[in-house]
Amino acid sequence: MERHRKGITNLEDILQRARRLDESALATLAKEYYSTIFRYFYYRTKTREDSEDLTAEVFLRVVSAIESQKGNFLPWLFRIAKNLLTDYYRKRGRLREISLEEIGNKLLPGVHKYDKNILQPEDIKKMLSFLTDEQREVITLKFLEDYSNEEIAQTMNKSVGAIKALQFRGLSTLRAILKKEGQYKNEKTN
Amino acid sequence: MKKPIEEALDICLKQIREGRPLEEVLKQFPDYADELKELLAIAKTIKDTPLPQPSQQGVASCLVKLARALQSQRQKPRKARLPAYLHFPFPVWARASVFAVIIAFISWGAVNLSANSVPGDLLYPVKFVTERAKFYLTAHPMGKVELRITYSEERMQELVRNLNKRGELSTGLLKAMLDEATLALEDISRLPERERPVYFSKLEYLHEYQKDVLENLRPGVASPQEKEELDNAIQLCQNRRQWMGTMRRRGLTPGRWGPRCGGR
Repeated sequence: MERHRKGITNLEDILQRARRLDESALATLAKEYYSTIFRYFYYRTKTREDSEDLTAEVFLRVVSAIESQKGNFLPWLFRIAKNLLTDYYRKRGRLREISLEEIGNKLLPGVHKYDKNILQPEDIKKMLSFLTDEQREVITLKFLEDYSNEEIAQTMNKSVGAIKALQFRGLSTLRAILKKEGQYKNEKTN
Repeated sequence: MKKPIEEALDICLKQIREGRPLEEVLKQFPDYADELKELLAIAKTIKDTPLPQPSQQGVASCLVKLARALQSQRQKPRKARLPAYLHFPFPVWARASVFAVIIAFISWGAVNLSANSVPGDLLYPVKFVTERAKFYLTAHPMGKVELRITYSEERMQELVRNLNKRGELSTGLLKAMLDEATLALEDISRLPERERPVYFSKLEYLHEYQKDVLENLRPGVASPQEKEELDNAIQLCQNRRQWMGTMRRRGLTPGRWGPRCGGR
């Protein structure tokens, strides 16, 4: 399945109007980017409700800061989301990051459909929780949001080379997790 | 040259996206083919996963909140924006540091510029305040004596500059010069006995120097009243210097009973 982002064709024009606090322009931006920002939070927070609350908060911050917004809109939007996520982690206590060595005892209960290629969003969320923040960001933006390396590099303020390296490391980590999962399943069946 | 695997993976992803068959793509990188095949399979699995969709209720609630926020944002008084040339696109701590450096630089400049000022000049109060601050921040008694002697000499320099600049003798400066010297003598009497002779000698030489300078100023003073003030000061310096010389030759310095210095 190939995802193609539609994108706003006249983004600069809409941004100009949004900077003048034009309601319809701001609503257009919110409708266009709501899903992207929601998914950004979905793979990083505990509940769907948290993701929706944080997404709404991002757009409230957009309203209060759009007048002074400069440069590319999307990286700016992600910066707001990142700041909110940092506050969220601070308030709730960060989800523990687990090393690959620990995975043997903490296998993913839901990830068992690798061969059938029918993973569900919840499975992906669990798998991604084993990645570092940067790897997770590259994997979600590249394979779920369909961004190009250049766009991701701009959003993350990194070089394209660094994005390629993160992409490789992220996929390698996921492969290791799924292999462990396979072994675990085999041992269980035997 | 062999490409690193990160690069090979990215090329494969791009070509598969463009519709090239997997086998054909992997043929370009036979060394990594097995590993790449697995990684590409995982990438495909992730891509094929249905995307989590936000609830319609969530989107609608966000739009309502946005409209409310917009209303209150419009009611807020607008902040006056800085002109472009004053825009400083750095964090608050950087702005604070730059501001602190500028203030320090201005203060340092003002203190230096005020060094040659005389009463009546714009920067003279800066000099006065700096001197007082320096004196009160000096804890050591010997440091205080040194400062008194320096200030007495400084008042004399100001007296000379003021006479050259304005053509009149400042009796205030003359008095301040002699007062600082008197206070220096009092402070010397409070020093430990072994430290006194050095500062006592310094003060004696200062009086001798001040007497010479004041005598040189005499021809430039026109008013008889000012001339009389100047003569009294010359006489006082002369008396103090003589008294100090006598004390020094006898191996005596002012003690706890306080200085005896021939009047004023």
